[in-house]
Amino acid sequence: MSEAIKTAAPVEGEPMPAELKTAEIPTRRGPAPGDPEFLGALRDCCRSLLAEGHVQRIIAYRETPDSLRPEVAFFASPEETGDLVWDLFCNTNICKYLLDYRTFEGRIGVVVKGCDARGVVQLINDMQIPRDKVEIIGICCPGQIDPAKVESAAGEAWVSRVVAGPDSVEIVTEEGTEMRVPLESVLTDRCLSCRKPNPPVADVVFGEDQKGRISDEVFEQIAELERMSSAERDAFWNRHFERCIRCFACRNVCPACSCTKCVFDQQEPDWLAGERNQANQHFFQITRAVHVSGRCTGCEECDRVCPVGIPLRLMNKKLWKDVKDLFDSPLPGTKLGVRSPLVMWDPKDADSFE
Amino acid sequence: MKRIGVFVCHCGTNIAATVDVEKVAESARHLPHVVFATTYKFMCADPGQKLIADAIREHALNRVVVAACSPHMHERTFRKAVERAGVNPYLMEVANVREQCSWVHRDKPVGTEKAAALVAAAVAKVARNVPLESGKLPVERRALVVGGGIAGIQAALDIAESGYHVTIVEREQSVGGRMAQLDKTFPTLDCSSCILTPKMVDVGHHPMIEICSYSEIESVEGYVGNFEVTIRRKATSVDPDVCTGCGECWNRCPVKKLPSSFNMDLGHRPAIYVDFPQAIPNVPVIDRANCTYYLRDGKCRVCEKVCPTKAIDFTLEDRLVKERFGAIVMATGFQTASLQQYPEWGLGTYPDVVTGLHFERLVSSTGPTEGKIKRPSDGKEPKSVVFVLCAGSRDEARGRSYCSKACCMYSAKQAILLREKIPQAQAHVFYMDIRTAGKDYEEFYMRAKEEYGVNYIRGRVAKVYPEKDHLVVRGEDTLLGRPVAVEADMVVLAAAIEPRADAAALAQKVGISYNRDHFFSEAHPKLRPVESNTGGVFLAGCCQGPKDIPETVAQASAAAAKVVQMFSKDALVSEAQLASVNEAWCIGCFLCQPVCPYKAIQPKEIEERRGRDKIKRTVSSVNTGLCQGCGACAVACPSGAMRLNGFTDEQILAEVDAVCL
Amino acid sequence: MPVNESAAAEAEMMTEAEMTTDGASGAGADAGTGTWEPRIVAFCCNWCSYAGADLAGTSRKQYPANIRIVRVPCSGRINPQYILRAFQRGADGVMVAGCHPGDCHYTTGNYYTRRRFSVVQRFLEYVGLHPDRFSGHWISGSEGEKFVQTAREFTEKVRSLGPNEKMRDVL
Repeated sequence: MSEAIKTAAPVEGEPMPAELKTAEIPTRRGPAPGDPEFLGALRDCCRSLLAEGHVQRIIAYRETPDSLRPEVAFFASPEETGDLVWDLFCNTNICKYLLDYRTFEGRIGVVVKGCDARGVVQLINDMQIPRDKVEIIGICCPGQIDPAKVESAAGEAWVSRVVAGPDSVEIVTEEGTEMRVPLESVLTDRCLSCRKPNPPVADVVFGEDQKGRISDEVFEQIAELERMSSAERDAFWNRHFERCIRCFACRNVCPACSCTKCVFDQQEPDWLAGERNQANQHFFQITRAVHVSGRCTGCEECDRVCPVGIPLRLMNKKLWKDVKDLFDSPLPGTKLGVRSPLVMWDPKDADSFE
Repeated sequence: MKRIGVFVCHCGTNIAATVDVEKVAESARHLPHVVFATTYKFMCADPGQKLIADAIREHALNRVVVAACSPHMHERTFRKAVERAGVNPYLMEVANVREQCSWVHRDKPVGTEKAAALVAAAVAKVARNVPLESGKLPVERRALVVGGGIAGIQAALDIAESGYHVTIVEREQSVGGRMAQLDKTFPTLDCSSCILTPKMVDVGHHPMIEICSYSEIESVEGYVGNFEVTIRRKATSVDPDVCTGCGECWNRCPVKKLPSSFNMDLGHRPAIYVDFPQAIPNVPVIDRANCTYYLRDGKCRVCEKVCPTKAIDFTLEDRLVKERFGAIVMATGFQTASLQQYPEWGLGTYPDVVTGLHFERLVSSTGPTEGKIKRPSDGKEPKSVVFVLCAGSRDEARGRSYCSKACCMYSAKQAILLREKIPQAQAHVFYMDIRTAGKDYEEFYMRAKEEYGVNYIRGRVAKVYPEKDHLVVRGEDTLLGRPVAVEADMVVLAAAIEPRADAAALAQKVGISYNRDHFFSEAHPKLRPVESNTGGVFLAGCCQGPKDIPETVAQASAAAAKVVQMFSKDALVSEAQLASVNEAWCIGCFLCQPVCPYKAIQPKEIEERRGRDKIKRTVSSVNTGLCQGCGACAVACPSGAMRLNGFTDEQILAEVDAVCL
Repeated sequence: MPVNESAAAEAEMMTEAEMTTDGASGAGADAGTGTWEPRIVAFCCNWCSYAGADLAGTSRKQYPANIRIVRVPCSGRINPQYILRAFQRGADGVMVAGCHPGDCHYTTGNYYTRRRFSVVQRFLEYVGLHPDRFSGHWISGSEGEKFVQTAREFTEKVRSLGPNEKMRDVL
């Protein structure tokens, strides 16, 4: 293992004992993002995992010409890990790529933030991939930057690169001008209200536990919607659902959506017709949200990828709030071996029937 | 080609008075796939059924809708009718136009319109029905009886007498159970052992009965007709094939002072022992936790030395035996409540406060006092005994709301026995209500009061405490409305009858349900009282709820009759409307698994072609022997890979569409 | 609707007004009369609620014809998507009914119904469906009267709301 990784147990260089693979508390920690040694240590870690045969593939990120938008990449050999990157622009939740490896024979490493790691755990809990097949390389996430916010901060100028500090970021434009803006002003919306930035389950962790941001903004918005009249809520959602182009991006990125034959793709039964009207839009939106309720990890990737800006998190988080209030279960993806509270019951459950 | 026939019943005037049946038939003729529609006075009568059959032939119908009374009335009738005419019975749907239309809507045009809508829904559904076949399940004609008390013994004898093999699994060294511990039985006062031991001997000698005593159920797999049960045969250290039960070993064993659970710890037994002299099988076991050989590294060996047949084998180990059974009778009996929540009564604190079962041992001639009633503390003959009824029963506040049912009667019996054995002793009974529902029971209770002078005091006991060499029982006489204090040499608590401590764990192994008190649940409280809700598992005796001996025996015989009924068939017919898996769609998330009340869903590995590769993956599969067709799995399944035949998404959606039109 | 509370009177002695409301057509905007009638879909479990509805019939109790029952084996078989579909196809109100908790024919099916629909019911309201358009009930096989009362009250609630437009297919 890499020098930079401080190993508690087992002793450095020794193959990892099997029980560690399923241990919820990681025993190895690497430097935090922001530490000058961080990227080198992460690359070393991935390189040695591949070199020592612990994994046969690593799913992580790679630099692109657009420094605000690294891409997801798949590393099959130690040599390839030279351009592996992890910075504050790794917005994409990569856990869903694991499903492409359902029948892959080797082990797969995934480089994950707190939210991505919950997705991995949810896939494990939904029995889509066995725990021992995944090497979870977790990163305690300081928050991700929304490239669009950076670009709008830069105004007309093209952004050439961004240097992130602990509290602020420096934006360098193509013309060479530099400007400094507070970090909070460019963080993604989901990161601004992220309460769980640390991977709940991991084999290796980089950085020390982050506190997260305790914004109640989403829940305040939900409460506001709940206070509205039916007609106002109807108008609110009609306005949003109307825009849906049914690209299914929300579904495709969702760690709780792993069906290979989704109800929306079926002809028989004909759940969803193609015509874009409010009836069909509602059927799609409500069904999608209900299907993932009890298993939604709150990563808000759906909200992030929606090309028409439907506030999907206001649906998912509403469902989560109710599920949590009613059945007192942990946030999906934070614990191994937990099934959806909607496939369980308790004789003392609340009753909304008459 | 779907060719649907619609048959609208007048039901005399029951339907026709408020529904224009001709109009309903006419509107049906315009529905997709409907090629024939007619009406008739009584569709369920022979001519009506013949009309359906004739129309099926004449119009080459391959699907049928009958608009008539509730499917709860005649669904089966019409299924059989179409089947006789060569149409799969599941290609018939009933439109309920009587109970849910003509009888509840008096306005004829309105009723007619709704009836037409209900017919349209049934037509839309039946168009999406597919032929279903009832599966045939083979039956392993061997029964397992769990528990060797009177319930298990009776069930085993009845099944074996019908010619089927039975295995009794009994946890203790001997069969006999609670009844073997009793002295006399109410209301006849005949000796419990005298009526039980012949039955034990019958069980022991019956060629069709195998007794696995000193054994427990390890696991149960499979389903009705085909259970695979693993039985843990605990190591006895005695070879049953060689042992003659001569008793040399247990008479000579130097460890003599171990508490005898058969005697409710009031007497002693050696480390190698049989539960009681008439034990069946009459082969002792070694209590390894207390045997010197096991405690001190192979020392002692007295039993081995004295055994004339060399039956002792210290090296024996627990064995796990797998056997197949077609049916299981649960007869695991009861224990009496420990009454820890009732410190005021002093059970466990004062040695002379005992439960009814202790008293049985003290009054029994085979008991530790050889039938002389002596109080446990100093062996003195009691001159005053207080019996406390409802000890732990009927007390919602402390967790047990039910009545233990047998206590009123057995306490009356014990009071009588006391008065017979020690005529000068006084018997007092504290009670809440006296419940003597049973043949000759009330008479027996009256005898206790009038002939034997038992003093009944209506009221709860608040406290039992020692004073000099006796106990004082304080309570309130609610009839006189004043506190009472009774001096007693002994207090006998009619402790609540509760299921065995591990009843819930066993129920989970077997896959049956239990109520909040952990009594096993019957499939229907009135109409299926001896069946559990799991096919092929039946209930007998106190494990299902408190009961006395005659009731237990009756239930055991009933359970046996159910088993024999099952075994008398060539094969079991499984329901046709069960869940099945579309394996191509199933991703093996197993959200369906926890919602299945019958544990009918298991993982299954399938091979699939992916391009040029063959891959293996795990999907859900439904055990049709266990599935009862509730459909909970189909809703838990996000993709709809799990389908409930007869009530598929396609069928229900078609109905919804039709009723909304 | 003026519900006649007297059980003895209600079976045979309905007022004129009740006859018209109870006896009204269940078919949306009725071309013949021009009066609008709510469409109501009730999903009933086979063993309890459907049997309860049958009992209402056997007892000849009258209730509005607006309710059309879809029979399912267990309330646990009721997929929330069916509710959406009903609204889509023109239902003005949807009812779900099952055995009382603890009395499920399949032991535990209705416990899942209870969980599922306590979440779904709140969510439907959240996306803008009027809360009175969806309701859940526990109706046993012996509760014919409860079925009748539920049917009457629900129909009246929905009637007072007027036609539903939320999620509805535009025809």
